[in-house]
Amino acid sequence: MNLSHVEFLVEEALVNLRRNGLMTLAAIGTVALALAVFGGFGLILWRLENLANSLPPKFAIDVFLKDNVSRQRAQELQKEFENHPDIAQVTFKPKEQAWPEFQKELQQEITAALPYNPLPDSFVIQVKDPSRTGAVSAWLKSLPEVDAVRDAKEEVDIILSVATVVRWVGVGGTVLLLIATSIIIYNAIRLTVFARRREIRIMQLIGATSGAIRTPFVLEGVVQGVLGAWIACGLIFAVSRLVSHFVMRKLVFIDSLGGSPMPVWMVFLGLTVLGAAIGGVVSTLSVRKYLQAV
Amino acid sequence: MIEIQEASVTYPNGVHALRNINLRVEKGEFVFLVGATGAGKSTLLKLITREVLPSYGKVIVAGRNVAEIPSHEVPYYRRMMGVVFQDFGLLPNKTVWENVAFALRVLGLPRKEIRKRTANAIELVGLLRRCDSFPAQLSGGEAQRVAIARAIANDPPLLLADEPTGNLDPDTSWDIMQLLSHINIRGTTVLVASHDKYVIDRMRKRVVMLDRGTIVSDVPCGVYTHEP
Repeated sequence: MNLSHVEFLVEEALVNLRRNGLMTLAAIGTVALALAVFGGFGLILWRLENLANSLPPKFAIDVFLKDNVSRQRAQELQKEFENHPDIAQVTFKPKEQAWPEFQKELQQEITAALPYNPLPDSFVIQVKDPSRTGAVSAWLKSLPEVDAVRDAKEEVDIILSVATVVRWVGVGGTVLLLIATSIIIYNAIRLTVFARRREIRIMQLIGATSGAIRTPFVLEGVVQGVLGAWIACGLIFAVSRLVSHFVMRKLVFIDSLGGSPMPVWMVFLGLTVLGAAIGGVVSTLSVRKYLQAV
Repeated sequence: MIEIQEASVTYPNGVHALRNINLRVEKGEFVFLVGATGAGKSTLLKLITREVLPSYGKVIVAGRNVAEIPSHEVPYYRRMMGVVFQDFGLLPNKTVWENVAFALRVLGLPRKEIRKRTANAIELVGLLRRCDSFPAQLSGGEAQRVAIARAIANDPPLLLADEPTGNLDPDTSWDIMQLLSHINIRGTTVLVASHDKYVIDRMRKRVVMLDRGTIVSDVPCGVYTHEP
């Protein structure tokens, strides 16, 4: 295939897109709406998954040491904890530091009445995998130097099971939505090919190879897919901006719970690639039917 | 040029479109295929374009058995023939110039060559002034001239026309036939399927008559008669 032939195929695609204006617009509009629903769903899932993953690490394990444990022993314990394969982070909180914080948290007048600092030395431990919270707690409790362990195993378990449900519903929903999106786009692009099926026969009879007939259609499908994806991105960002502006301001705690928003470039690139791929594949399938006819 | 030996075509729905056809067309001939609707004229042309394969028998065009041409070579085989349809078969979104040039562009010819051949073909059919018009802006006669220009732009040795005057008034039909005759005189073999008695009788060319899928008469310098 020489350069002038490539130029011809690209030119064909662009001229056809322009001159079949209404059909092109209808196809791009359908692609845009289908991908906007798909992308919007993906974005909501991403947010939920992120939120669910960001919550458990906030529930750290508090380990209170017995009064008779020396600081030297506490340092040894810290090293031991740090070397534990399930533990991500260990912070030693000496009683002198814990006391003012406690006083601040409660009302100073009440605590001021106490003649001494009743708080023990403690560690704040964060586990690597939230599902290991129970096992780590049990191990900590078994240590002779440890007086008490406070974890949020129940809360963590609930959040973890919610995260699992969200993940599976997400995977199932994404697959179903992807199939539905592909079918909708297939129908939209198939209609544009159907409207021009006679052209395909004429091209065949004047000796155009299957590649020369198919390529402009496929390029048109890719362009329709990409343009539709860009409009979908615009729709998604506009809607998500509106939602965060009006809803999130009233539900401040949702943002404060954490979870990062999906990077803009990821949505843009993902939908563009998806739009181009679906557009290209469904055009190929649509044209194939008529190419076989003669 | 064309040799059809005992060819029969039965469509998947059981219709016997052609039965035991024997036909030989020499290079440079002008042949009318005549007969009523459903007689098998279009199917016979489709055998030559390889849109239809014979159920029995052989179709040999320019020395090649058409049924043995592999699918990927069919486009190259079709480049040796121009095809003209009753409904013109122009690409609606392309101008006159683009329609004619398209047939050359798919061949991958250089731009300069495409320009030269397109201009020649459009000039031959007398439509240089309508180069920028779209098919919808043309009269029936003009549209058919464009279709003929496209069919001959590549200068193929064979021209097939399926009811080229079916949608045209008698005067325009006569002009179109004159044009086909002119192309034939330049050396192109021309096969025209038609039931346009008015022009066939005036042309005095070879007339092959079909009736219900069989050839019932084959007369040089013949006329179109409904009674075989």
